Amino acid sequence: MKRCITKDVFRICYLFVSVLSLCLFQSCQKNQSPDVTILISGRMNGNVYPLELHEISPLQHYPYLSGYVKQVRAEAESQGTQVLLFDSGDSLGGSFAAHATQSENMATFFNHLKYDALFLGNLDANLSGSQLKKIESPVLTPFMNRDQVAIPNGMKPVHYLQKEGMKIMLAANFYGTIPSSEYPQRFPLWFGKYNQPVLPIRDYQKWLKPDLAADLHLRHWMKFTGEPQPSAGETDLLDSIHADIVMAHKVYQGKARTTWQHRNYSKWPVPVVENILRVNKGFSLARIDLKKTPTGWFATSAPRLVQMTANTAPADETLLAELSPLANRIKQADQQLGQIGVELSKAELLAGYMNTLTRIEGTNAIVCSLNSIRDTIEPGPLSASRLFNAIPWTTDLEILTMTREQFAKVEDLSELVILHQKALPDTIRVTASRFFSRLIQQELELSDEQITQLGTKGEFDFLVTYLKKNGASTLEKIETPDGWIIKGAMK
Amino acid sequence: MRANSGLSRLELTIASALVLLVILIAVPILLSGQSSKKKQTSANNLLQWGIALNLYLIDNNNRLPTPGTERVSSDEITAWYNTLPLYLSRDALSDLSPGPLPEKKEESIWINPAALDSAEKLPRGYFTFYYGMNEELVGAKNKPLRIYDVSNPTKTVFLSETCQTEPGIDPSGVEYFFGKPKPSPEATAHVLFCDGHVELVPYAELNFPHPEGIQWKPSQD
Repeated sequence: MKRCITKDVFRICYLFVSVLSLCLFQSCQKNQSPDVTILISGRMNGNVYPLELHEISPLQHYPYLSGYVKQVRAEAESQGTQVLLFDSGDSLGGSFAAHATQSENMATFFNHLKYDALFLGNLDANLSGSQLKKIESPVLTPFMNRDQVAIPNGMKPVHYLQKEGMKIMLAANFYGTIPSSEYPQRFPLWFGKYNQPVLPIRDYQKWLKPDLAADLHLRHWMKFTGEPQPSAGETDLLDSIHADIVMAHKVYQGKARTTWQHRNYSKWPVPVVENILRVNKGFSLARIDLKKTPTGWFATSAPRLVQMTANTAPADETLLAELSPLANRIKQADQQLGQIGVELSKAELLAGYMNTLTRIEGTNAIVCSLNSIRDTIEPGPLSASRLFNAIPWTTDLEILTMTREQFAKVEDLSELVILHQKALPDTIRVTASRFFSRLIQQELELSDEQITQLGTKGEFDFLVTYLKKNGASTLEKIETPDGWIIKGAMK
Repeated sequence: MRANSGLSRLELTIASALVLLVILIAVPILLSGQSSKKKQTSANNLLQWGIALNLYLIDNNNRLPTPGTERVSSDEITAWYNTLPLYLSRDALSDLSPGPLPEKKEESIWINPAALDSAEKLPRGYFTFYYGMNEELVGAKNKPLRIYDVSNPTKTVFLSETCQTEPGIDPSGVEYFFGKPKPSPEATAHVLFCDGHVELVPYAELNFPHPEGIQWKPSQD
């Protein structure tokens, strides 16, 4: 009996210890803390409004985003994990708040969270140097001029970041081999107040030398036509640039929302993160947790998009207090422009808007696109913020001077709507936003001298001034003015 | 020797009592665990619908989807059940084959597992809606409402748990936990609000809205 009980007790103990060990092992596996957590925001489109202004922009996600980042940082500190925080571009402008505050709303947000770096996107091309100077974090540019000098002046496409024993190489957004003719509207052809055309940086060689291995690796990753050299292994890359992490953002090539499907991060010895977020206005934050091993990095959990709601993290009250003083400025800028009597479809709004541009002195033709109109306008009071959200992404207005032959070629460009005088002179003055004037310049190979800038601040400010003088209902006049004709893609 | 190898009657009684005690303690815990798992599944489903709603708003100039009608049809191009699933990489409801789909046993964003019993009592041949959109969130002539027209998106109901054949709901259409046959004071239901967050809301708050509390109407005007 005694022997039997001893045997049973031994068996039970053995079983108990085995189960306990298994549980402990699993628990250790689950709690394996990462060495690095990378958080990436992007495409916020300037959507940071003080909460007092919920009537102008009712949905705000940034308070939770900020709360979440602080939560992750606090947790990481206790685990000895490094947190890297980046923005992948198209975040600094695009909202009425950003327009009214000259992007101070976004600078406040980025500075408050002490971002490690910001990457400019094609929609950030409208920013002036003074706006960018408000940002305390390094800002990486993907643009250069014809002389292959990165612009804006003083900015670089590559940056090395030192982070407590870790060296991180950052490369700005890049376009790889995507032909600009395929997505002309995604390739900025100007930057800020810089008057000459700009080009996307496609090759980082100039900025990476003598780090040949890094260059070759990026070439391979950017899908350049040339085959990568066999010696350009990822380990060589790390050795040659003495970096622990390389971050590079690739500009997306499609509109699909499925871009966050790269579950293979863990297999890549060097973590490279794509510019993965579509327009999300701050609703999504990408997160990846990585652990370093002697052979490379692996993700301790699947890369994911974290949605920013009250369920994710508490709102960051300190950031809200910091942004609050901007509310008055934005509210004051949101002036009432008058009444709109009928609903204006996008096509009607485009027609009404282009008609106002015919009043610019000396103009013989106007060029725009229906795709640039962002929303319809309902009947009722028209506020500046409502107008901003409907008309084209605001850029400066310019005049292109060209011959009749050159003008005929403009009509061949797809997606454009052209409003012009029936009787055209030999030298035609075409009014367009800087966005379209630089596109036409590129396609028709016009010289810089054929472009002059109008003294107006931009499309939006021109329209606001015009409507205040002539009444908001002017926008409802959608018939083509006498002596003018409209052509192009209105559907 | 043989008698020594077995257990005495006393030992057997103690062992049986212990087993019974364990069962008595464990069964309610397991059952409540299952119930809380079902509730969590439903809350997660609503969070998914919240992601879809936010992405939809961004793509549609801040216009909300519409509640849609009982007859699920592809003509209902702005109905939430046709538009939102695409943002979750799922088929629009009108693209699913007709009938009470999806199968009730499968895990799905369409199904609230805690309401499966109630669904059994519904007429067959119709789609069972386990989530319904707030019927008030629609403009004149069934036009999509703009989020700007919702005075407080963080407090306004967008979707809530239900169990019916119609895709739109009012407070009476909400399916409550502890709510059968009539909701008790402690009855609660998960609600997705227009800003994308989810809360477990008590019956009283959903049925007797307070001016500063939860709202069904887009504005208090």
